[in-house]
Amino acid sequence: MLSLYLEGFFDYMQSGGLVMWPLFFTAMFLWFGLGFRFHTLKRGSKKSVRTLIRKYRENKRIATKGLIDSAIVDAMKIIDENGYAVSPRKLLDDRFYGYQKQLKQYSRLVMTLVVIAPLIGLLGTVVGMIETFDSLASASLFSQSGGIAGGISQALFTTQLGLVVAVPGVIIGRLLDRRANTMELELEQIIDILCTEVNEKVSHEV
Amino acid sequence: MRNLLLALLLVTTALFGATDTQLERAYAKEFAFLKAQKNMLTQRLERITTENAQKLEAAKAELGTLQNSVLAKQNRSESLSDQLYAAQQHAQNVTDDVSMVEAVVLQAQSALKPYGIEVEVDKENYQAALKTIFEKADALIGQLSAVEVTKGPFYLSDGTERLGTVVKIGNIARYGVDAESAGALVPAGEGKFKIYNAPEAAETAKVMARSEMPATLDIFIYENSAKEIEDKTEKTIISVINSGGIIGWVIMGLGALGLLLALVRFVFLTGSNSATLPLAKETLTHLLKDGQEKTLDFLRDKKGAAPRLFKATVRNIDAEREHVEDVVMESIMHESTRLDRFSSAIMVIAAVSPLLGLLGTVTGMIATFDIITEFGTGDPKLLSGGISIALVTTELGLIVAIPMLLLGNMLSAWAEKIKDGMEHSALHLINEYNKQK
Repeated sequence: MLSLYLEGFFDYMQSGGLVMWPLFFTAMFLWFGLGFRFHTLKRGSKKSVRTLIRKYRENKRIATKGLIDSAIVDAMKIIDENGYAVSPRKLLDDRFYGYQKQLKQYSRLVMTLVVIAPLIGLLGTVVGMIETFDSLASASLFSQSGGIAGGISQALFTTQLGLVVAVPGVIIGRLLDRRANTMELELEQIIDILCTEVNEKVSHEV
Repeated sequence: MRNLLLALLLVTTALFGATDTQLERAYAKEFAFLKAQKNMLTQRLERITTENAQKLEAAKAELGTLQNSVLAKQNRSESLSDQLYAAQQHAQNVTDDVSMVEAVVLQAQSALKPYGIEVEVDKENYQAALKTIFEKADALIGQLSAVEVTKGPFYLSDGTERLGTVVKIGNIARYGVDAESAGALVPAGEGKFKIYNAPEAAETAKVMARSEMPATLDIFIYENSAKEIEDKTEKTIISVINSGGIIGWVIMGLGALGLLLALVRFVFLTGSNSATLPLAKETLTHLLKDGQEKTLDFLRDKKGAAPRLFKATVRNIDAEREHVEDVVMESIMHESTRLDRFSSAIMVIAAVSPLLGLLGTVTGMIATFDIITEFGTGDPKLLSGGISIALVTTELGLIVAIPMLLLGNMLSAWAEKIKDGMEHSALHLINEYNKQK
């Protein structure tokens, strides 16, 4: 059963010629990147940052589900440890660096692969066209390397596949980028809210 | 008077009385004569009328017979002209048949001549000629469709003559085998044969020479043995680039340059990519334990972007917070010129090479159309060869662009990551120092 599927798969890869394997690996890496980003870009709770901070402060919420949740918990831990003597902004920046790195991880890879996949498809088309015109020149309809028919089918197939790989990548990649941007803004919002609170307390005490 | 009148009357009456009988007689005579004449005329009229009627009848009958005969003659003429047309058609068919038979005979003569079969044709007796032709052709087909193993000469690719076993598969393919070499034979012109440079046919040749059936039949089928077959030329990378012309070499040069730049950039980045956060922690312990000067000594031994940044930071660590941060930012700016070196050059190469490929394709197409204006569209080989060469530059452009795009983007991402890491470690260093001091 498995070997049957494998055979079908290899036949499929054969039909597009040389560029199929690069295209296949491009698709693999692309979906790995997308999956990774989808996994890391989990906000946690749906509630707004303000509500979340209030809830954690009142200890009504303990479990951390996502990135924003754990960022808030971390930030509040730092502020509690540090007291209110110095401005916590720099410490929070330091602490949130890891989160920001996580938000950006693989985004560049996804965008690059999305650009590259149609180009590989185009390369396959050009290779197929050369094959076709070569066969026309030597007047061999069928040959071991493919001939006219093989060249044309290869030419049409790879462009199609390149687009099939790229288009979902573009759409999902854009959506994930937007989510990452919102979450980055929210991280900054957390820092801002906590810093204002600390400043207010300090000025009260004075 | 009255007497006179009476006398007159008597005279006239007597006179007239005397002539009255004479008159009557004359009248009667006349009447008889006229009556006889009338009778005669009536009879004549009757006779003439019947005569006329008889003649009319006869004439009508004659007209009918004449009309019938005209109709019959017309029919006959039609049928005769039909026959004439048919006869003409037949004559045409016969001429066509004769010319066809002549063509067949001529074709047969020219087809059989290469095999040494001469056919004598008697113009009066085509049937016999055709019969002999078909008999001889039948015998020839039987002879040619057989697989025959004989001893015979053949040539190697370099032109040396060998005497070995030749397997003839009809008149469409041959194999040659001797002690050292084996392979499919292809025509080398003038009825001679040479070994084709396709190594996969060697095994088939050896099996065929033993009069066995090979599992796979690698065969070279030729149309006729007179025309020389050229050895197939292997496509090498150099020949492919060469077929793209100057633009092909320019693209490959750009690709090599881009690869070199990417390599240099990779070396730069690996040089700068020391583990910055552990180094920052190490620096911090030194700083807390040994003081500023010793830490600077410790950092001086290390090479790379991060130690340089930490040196600048440690030197100013006791200054005001904002001042330290300015120093850190400045150091990172300084390092980033080195980290970003060649990044735009690589991306430019990635962007330019497909465009160059397109340029080469357009140039090649123009050359192809020049060929069309000069030689016309008669020979598809001329045109499709030109187009396939034109497409090579696009292919090369894409082959250069795709890895360059990937490398350029990945290296840029790496450089950004290094810069972010340095910024973060410096911040961490300052924060921890301020906290623990």
